[in-house]
Amino acid sequence: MKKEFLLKKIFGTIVFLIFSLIGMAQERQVTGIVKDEKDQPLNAATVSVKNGTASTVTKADGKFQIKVPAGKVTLVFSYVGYDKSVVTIEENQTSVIVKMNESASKKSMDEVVVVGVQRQTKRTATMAISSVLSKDIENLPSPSIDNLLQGRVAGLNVQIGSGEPGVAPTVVVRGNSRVNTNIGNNPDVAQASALSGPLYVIDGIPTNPEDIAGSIDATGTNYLAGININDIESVDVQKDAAATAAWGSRGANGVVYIKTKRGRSSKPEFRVNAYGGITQQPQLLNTVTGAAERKLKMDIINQYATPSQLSNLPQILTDYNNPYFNNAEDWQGLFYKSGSVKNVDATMSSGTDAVSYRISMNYYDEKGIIQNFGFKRYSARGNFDFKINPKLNGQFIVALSKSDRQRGKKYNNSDDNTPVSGSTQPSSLYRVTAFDSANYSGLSGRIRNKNLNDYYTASLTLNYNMLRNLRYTFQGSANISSSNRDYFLPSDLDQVAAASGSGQASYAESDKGTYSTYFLSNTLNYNKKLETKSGHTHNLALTGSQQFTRDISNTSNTSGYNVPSNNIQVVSGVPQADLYGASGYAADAMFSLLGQAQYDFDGKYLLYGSYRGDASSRFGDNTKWGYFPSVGAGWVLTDEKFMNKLQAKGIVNFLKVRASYGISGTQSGNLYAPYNSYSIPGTYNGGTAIQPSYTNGLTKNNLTWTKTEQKNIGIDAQFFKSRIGISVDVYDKISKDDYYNFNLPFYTGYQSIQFNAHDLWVSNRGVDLTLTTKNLSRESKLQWNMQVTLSYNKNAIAKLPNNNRTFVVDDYYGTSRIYAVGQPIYEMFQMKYLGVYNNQGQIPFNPLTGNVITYFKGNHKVVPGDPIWEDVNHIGDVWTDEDNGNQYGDRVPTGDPNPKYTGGWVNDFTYKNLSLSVLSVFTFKRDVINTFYQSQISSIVGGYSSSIYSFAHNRLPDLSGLNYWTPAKAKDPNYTADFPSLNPFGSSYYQFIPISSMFNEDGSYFKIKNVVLSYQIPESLIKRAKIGRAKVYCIVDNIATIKNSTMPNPELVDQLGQYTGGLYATPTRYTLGVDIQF
Amino acid sequence: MKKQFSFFKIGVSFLIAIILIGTSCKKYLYEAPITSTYGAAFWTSQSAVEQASLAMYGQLRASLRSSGSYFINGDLCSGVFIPKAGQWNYQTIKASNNPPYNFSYVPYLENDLQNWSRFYRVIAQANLILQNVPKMEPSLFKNEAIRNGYISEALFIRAYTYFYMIRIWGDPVYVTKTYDDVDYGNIPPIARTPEGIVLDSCINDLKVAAASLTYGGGSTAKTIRANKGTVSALLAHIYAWKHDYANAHTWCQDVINNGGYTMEPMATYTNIWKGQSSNENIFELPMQYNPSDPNFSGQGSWAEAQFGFFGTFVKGSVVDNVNNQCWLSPDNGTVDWFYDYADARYNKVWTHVPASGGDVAGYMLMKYTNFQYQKPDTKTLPYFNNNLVLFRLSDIILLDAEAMASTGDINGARAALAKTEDRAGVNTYLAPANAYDMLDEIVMERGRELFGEGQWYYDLIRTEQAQTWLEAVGYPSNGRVNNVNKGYYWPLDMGTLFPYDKLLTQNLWWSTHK
Repeated sequence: MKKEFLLKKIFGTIVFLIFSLIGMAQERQVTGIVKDEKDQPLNAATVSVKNGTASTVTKADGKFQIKVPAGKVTLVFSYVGYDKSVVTIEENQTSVIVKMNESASKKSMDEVVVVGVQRQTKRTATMAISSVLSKDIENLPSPSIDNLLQGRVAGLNVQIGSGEPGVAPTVVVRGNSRVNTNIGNNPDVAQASALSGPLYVIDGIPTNPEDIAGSIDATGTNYLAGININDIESVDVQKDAAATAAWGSRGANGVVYIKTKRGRSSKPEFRVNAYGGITQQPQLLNTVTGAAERKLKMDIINQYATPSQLSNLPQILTDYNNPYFNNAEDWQGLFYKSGSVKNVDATMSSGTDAVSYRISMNYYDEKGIIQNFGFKRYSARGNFDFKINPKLNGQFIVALSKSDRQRGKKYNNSDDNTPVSGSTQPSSLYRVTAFDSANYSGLSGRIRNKNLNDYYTASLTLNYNMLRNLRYTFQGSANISSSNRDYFLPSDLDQVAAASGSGQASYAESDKGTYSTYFLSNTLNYNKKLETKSGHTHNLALTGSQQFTRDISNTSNTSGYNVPSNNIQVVSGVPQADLYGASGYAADAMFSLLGQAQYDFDGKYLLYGSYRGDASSRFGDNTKWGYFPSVGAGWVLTDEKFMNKLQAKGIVNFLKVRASYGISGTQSGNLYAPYNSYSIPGTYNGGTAIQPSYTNGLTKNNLTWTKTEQKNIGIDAQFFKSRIGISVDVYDKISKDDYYNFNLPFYTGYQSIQFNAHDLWVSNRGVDLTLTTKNLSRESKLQWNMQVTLSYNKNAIAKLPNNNRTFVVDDYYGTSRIYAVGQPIYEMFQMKYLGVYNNQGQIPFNPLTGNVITYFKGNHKVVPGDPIWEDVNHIGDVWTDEDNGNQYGDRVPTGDPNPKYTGGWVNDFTYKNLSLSVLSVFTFKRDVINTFYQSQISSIVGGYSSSIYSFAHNRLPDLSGLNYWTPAKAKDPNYTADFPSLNPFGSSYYQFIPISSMFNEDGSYFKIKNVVLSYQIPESLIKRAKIGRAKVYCIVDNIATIKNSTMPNPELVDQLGQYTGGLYATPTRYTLGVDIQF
Repeated sequence: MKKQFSFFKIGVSFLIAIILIGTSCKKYLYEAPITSTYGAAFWTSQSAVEQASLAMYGQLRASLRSSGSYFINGDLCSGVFIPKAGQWNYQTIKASNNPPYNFSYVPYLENDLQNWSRFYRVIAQANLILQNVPKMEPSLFKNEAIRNGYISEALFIRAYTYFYMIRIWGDPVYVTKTYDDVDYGNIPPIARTPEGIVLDSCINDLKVAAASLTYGGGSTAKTIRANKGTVSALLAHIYAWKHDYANAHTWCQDVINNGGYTMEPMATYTNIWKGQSSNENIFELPMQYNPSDPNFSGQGSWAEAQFGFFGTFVKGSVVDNVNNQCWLSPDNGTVDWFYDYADARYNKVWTHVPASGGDVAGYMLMKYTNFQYQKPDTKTLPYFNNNLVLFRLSDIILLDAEAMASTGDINGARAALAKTEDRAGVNTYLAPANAYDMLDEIVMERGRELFGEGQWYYDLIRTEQAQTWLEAVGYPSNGRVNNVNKGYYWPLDMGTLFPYDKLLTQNLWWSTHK
């Protein structure tokens, strides 16, 4: 025994020595050049020796040099977004030209994705992940990355409800799972939490923008706007439970993994990229002005008025010659203008075996299309990689950014953008003097409104290869985000009011907030490859990790009325009684343990499992821990013998089926949710009182994680020499136990409590489809690549508390929403509008009384010209409720604001040095409400009240082409009106408020979002200037919208589908840029 | 060998790292808030109990003031006043409405007039004190009497609140426990308890409270918290409400003889509402301006001094024209009917104003007129520096008169009436010869004395079955206000309340009259 062992050892030593000798003596150099399909050199492609250690990267001109062992060797070429290329170098070959093909599926199969703490290749992953690469999004004029993901990722629904720079769009992965019942509150606050947003992981560090916004938000600026888009290398959107369970705690609503760029060029490289352009003044709404307005109004009046009403019209309509009333002012013109956008990036990077770095600086400046709106950002980022020794390597990232958002006079993403709101603009007949005009347009200009957001992050990752198969990774990071707002409103803001002594008090405010996240993790990674005698391989990867996250938020707010002078624009000298000050502190912690296992047999049969446990301080003593398991399996069919034929012919290049199941969670948004925090309501005879909070009065020792259970089946396939790639996923997601505001019985003395609703289930089912094609042959000079993404999602409430009790909540704009099992979240609940009663004969009778039917509980007898509202309960009266206790009256579900189909269509064309990319996005099957039109109609002919005066004084909405009912037209017995009577003298029975579906519209749209044309300047022209590469490009952003609704842009709705018309329009931008690399 | 050793070393240090992070993070996982106190940390000092007690009083004040419901319930419903011209949604609370005094239709006021939830907050706060204070260590209090004092105050406020609710809605849902997380998710519905049973419980509580409290001795410093005199006054009122006039008399006598209160002379009559300025007051709620009040400028429910609450009674120059409408007692109404023009109170607390601001001509109440501006230079942030008097000696003397008249002691009643009428310079108490007439005189004198103090409507209910005053002020004689239908109580907003208490029932009259 002993002898044998000794022999083996000696033999082993000899073999080792021989090999090392050969290695030393017989090394040789291979040089080459790497190009892409268009014969353009590829910069920074990785060249490595198969089964060896040597590797290098190509330079800007695509050239490389590598030392290889003697004999026949195999070189592997890889480049992000390109298929891996494997080339065999013969014994005496010293140079090579390699052409790499862009992968059909955007990310090649060998690309690495990070799931939890484990790295996996796309080929062997069993999860549903979609990616967006830097080349798809670079240079697009947008302050934040989330805007740019629209239409590029199947399963990700991005809706840009406001074009205001620095404001976050809504991002929902695979359907909304949040049931918010506070939608009737201030829309700024309530709607921010109406939808379930994803978790963002930035270079491995989990960040939840909603937590940050919920804790410190002083400015309302999008957290992600702190990251320069041109620093981003890739974005992976992880959708199914196998992917998200590993993020456990906070992955239930999807995970967006953002990876930033690193240095890889062996030669130091300097790159400057600059673009600039204009944002076009939005198209103003059609408005009739001046004489035309007066004529139109008089026409309407003449249709309906009695002689006595005609003799008593408001002066503004009758006094033609009065200079105060004979103007033609389109008030919109006062506020809207053209804006601009500028962006400069400078990057230095280099990479050697030992150290690589990439340092970038960015300046982004967008001026808004409304007075005093804009966004500026200065940012810097450094990514450093160190290879200390073959066993130890590390990465250090540091990023800083400062952004400054101008946002007019408002706080958040509200529609309060202009001093005169969209729907209540005055008649064009009024005279707007230079003083008025200056007063209005200067209103926001004299407000001091500084909104600064700072963002600092530093992270360190160390990898230590303890054994050949065992790697230890430490990751530590600090992420600090601060939000500062300084605001001042002078007392003479409204100069007219100030002059007459009725001006408001001056007001100053200063809010500061800092949110710090510290993240520590220790990970052990074990990889084992076992080759069996029969030539098969078992690959096993085991990962165990322990993580600790701590969040600390600090806030301070001071404000005061009656600042002594308008020259003092801070909180200073404010009388004691008008002074308000408070500071806040909140902290939480989470401790997690995570295990992940990945196994494949010959890369053909794939198995994956993970198990994660999280303990959070945000939960009750009994229920801190939540456990999130997931399993996945996959089968690469193309590796089977029976597929060989198809594969050889190039018909089916790759085919994988996969399935996964798992549970992920979310934690409470309240950092101290289990504590029954007491509050200080005020004083009693000067003594301070303390009482429990009536909305959070009970301790919650059993408060725990919400859970989302998700099943996913997917297919990844490539056909016809990889010219067509398809990826389809079908999912079934059920979210349970979400936090829900339960009303408590009145006799407890408490109002409500937020707790896990064990009977609140939300189901989201759907299909994600990604199709990529290369429409022309690889040999063609012109290349045309296409990507279509399509997401279908069906959202429904599956279970409700209190034995599935249906309930109705009115949103801020007065539209009721029904919460019922089987209905989508936020389904509109209104009386059904079915057209117009054209003549008396069409009006039905009340079966009980024999009289014509009535509206509004008998208060309005229906007459011709009235809207037809469906009498659902057949009692001869139509209204939203009945006095007999039927609280839902004739209301029925009338519209679903959750889009059923969303997606995008990308077309990339290249011809020689020229490339053209067109992105279109679409949303179909979505219902929205045109509250803007509704409130305009309301204000001219009565909603809550009606009067000839409001008709005369307000701007007339665009009535061109509107076939509204008039008595004259109705004389024709065959006449059919499209809209009810607009009688300004008629009685109001609330016919024009959104209690009926009269103003519901189809929110579908198809939008050509951007077109990018770029030209790579030939090397010959720039070589002399020592320029490596240069590119010029121009971009048109938000080009055209095809839609089926009356509003100019049906995407500009809030989270609940309300179009208020006042939102900041998404402007068309034209930019021109140049990208130079030295 | 060496490799293994290093692996072992790394493994150990990895384990140590896990343990270190694991143990230190355990502390973080149980971190409590520092920006607010919470149940488990709060009940650990006498000053905390004081703060909780102040919250209880403050809640009561906020609940009574809510949308001026104190005066709507106590005065407007009795027809003494008519609502302002602009209060379109108050117009159903008038004798001239059809049907008269329609309590079931008060648009936008349902939450204040038909929903009792806010009073359950006061009760919850009292219950919280009653649950926690006895459990605290004795060493946390200066002495045991102080601890018992807090318990007694909570018992008093709970009893007062139930009594107040009963006078408006009848049978309450009776709760004397605190709800906590153990109950959450399985809180059983509770049916209403007959008012008599609840009042008996309140009486028992008050007797306990009386045992550990002392009299205020007429000190104006002690009128804003419960003391033994306050408890006795409430006992007298509760017994009177139960028509147990023998006991009512006993407790009235206790207040009159032992309380240490004295009648305010007519010369300084308005000191009663000035705020802790009269020895006549037994219990008043402070509503004085306090410069450090954080709620003042917002005029929220917790603001100590407000404008709107008392402002409902006055307009014109009294309030520097901040109001141009107010509640008035119209000409040929209650004021002209009740007062002898020689009555000093007629001149002291009523001013005739001509029709203005849409209001008809009538009498304006002048009890709460201590009008101020926080910023006199800019005339902004107006308020009243008046207190709301809940119990005072005249009230108890007249209640005693009612008790004596009801038990046949006409002379005793006359002697009691003399105390308030003589002060006002009138002597209509001389005329009545029998109990019925004497009681009518007492009801009228209670009105003359207490109009605009949120009391008289309950006097009418209390004496209704014998004297039928409700019909006299305009309530229909269709059986609404008999002692079966009890249509003098307000309906409950069942749409809001019933979903959370399936055993809740509507008041009889209102279940059939909408």
